[in-house]
Amino acid sequence: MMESILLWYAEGLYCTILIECLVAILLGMRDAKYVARMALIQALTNPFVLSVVLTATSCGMVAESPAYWALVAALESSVVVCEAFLIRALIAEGELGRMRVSNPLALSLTLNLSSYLFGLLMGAVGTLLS
Amino acid sequence: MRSILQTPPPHACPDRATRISALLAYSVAHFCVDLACAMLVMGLVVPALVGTDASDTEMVAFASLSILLYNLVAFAFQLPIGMLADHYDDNAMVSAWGCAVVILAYTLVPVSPMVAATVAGLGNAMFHIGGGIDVLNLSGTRRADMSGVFVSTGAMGLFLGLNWSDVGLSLPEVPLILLTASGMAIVAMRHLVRQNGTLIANEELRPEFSGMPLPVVLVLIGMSVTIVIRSYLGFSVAFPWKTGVALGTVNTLVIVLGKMLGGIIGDRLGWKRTAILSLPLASVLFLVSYDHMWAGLAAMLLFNMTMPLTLTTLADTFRHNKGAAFGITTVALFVGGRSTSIPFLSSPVGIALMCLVSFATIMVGFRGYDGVLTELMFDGDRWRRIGDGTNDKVTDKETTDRADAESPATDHVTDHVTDGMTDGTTDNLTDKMSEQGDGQDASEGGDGR
Repeated sequence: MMESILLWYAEGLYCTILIECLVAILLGMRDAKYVARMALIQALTNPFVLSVVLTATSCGMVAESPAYWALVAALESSVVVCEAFLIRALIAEGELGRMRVSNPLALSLTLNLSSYLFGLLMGAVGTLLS
Repeated sequence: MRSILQTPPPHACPDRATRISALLAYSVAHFCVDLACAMLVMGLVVPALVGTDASDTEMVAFASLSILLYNLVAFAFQLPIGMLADHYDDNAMVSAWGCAVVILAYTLVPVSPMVAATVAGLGNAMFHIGGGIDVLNLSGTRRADMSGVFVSTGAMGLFLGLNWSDVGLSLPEVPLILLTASGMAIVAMRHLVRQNGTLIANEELRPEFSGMPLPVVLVLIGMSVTIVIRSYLGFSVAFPWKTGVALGTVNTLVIVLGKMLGGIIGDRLGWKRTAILSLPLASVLFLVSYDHMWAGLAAMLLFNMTMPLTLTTLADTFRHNKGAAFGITTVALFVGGRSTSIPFLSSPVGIALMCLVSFATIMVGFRGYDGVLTELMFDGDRWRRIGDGTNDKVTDKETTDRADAESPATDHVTDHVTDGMTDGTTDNLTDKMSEQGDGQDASEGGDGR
């Protein structure tokens, strides 16, 4: 039981780090130091979302219910804002200026949207294969 | 010229509010990181290896090895990590990465519990080094109050982490949420400090560890031995009255209070006076501590008071290599925690004697520290004696610092006493393993750092 929960964390965390860092690189982030800081930002935000979702479901919230999706939406929104702040805090404005998305909030939204869509895609592929 | 005047210098010292905010962020994060690491090792790694069959000696050996690896990396590796951090000079980032590495360790448990424990130790070491150096930088020289507050909170985190099931904490949500919040708080703190035009920066790196004269050697040996003894006693003390989580919590709170008060009182009263008042009295109280709870609690409070003093003394002596100095204290902690237990030294008389020995060693360290402040200067290349005709290269900063040390504002130089930060209250988890369930002794040593 605990092992599957931790694997769920691992899957979410590593996929998010991979996708969001990849997208950041594609958007023009070339400095390895800043890519590493992007990974740090993911490592600090992703487990928080998963932990809150896990706590909510263990407290009786039904997965896929309207309340569940409202919680996920609220969490994702807060993560976008938090990541925007962290990006601004950890990455020099000049570095962002050379990227195709130069606003921290827009960059955060782009990265999170890409990883979320990737997650949906993988889920769909998994459903098809099974 | 105009822009220079308008832009605060990069090394401007943060104001009081910023310093307190940073101390608060690091202290709370210290609690969270130690709690998360203890929960990972005792709540995930050990059960994953031992499972429900505690009679499987091979798996129990693996679990013990995992705990040893965790302690080795978390404590002994702080020395090399500290040396790297001295070079890197971005301590908040090292600390935030420490939180992230512990998070990653949680995801490694299903793959390999032993690797997860080792990685958690690495994250723990990174956090402590980053936070420790920053707090030492913030507090300035000859001040132990901030380091005392920083190190004290870990003891409570460790205690609650080891007793996580008894206090109703749930794995893995609680530690992961606390770790993410801690990491984000540190990043936010770093940003706010820089936004104010200030920087919590290391002093220029210099080779203070080469060619050490006698006073410096006395500080190094005196303080290191004091920490080893404190760490050893942290595991040796086994009060018979300390049964159950409630009394364990009270005992841990007393340790936390002792560490906090040690720095605060030490700065007001003088470090040497604080040691003179606390350790001999603790020694007397230890004699009756097994029979009387109040005596045991008072002894633990007094015994832990010198902890921030030893740390600050070492950090002041090696002020250009604070990360390495911090690492020395944790290596000493590890040595003390791993030392073989001698039955006599676990008795009240043995503990009282060891307490007196630690008093003697800390006084030796303070004697050396007096010499460092009054007889020596570090001129950028090597230590030199004041007045030997070779001090012409002494920098203005060193001269200013020395004058500062002799001013009444920083209290009498001779009163400064040290005691390492970690002090006997170690967080070693190894011994906890053997007494899992009663779970109080780890808090004894407290977390130390």
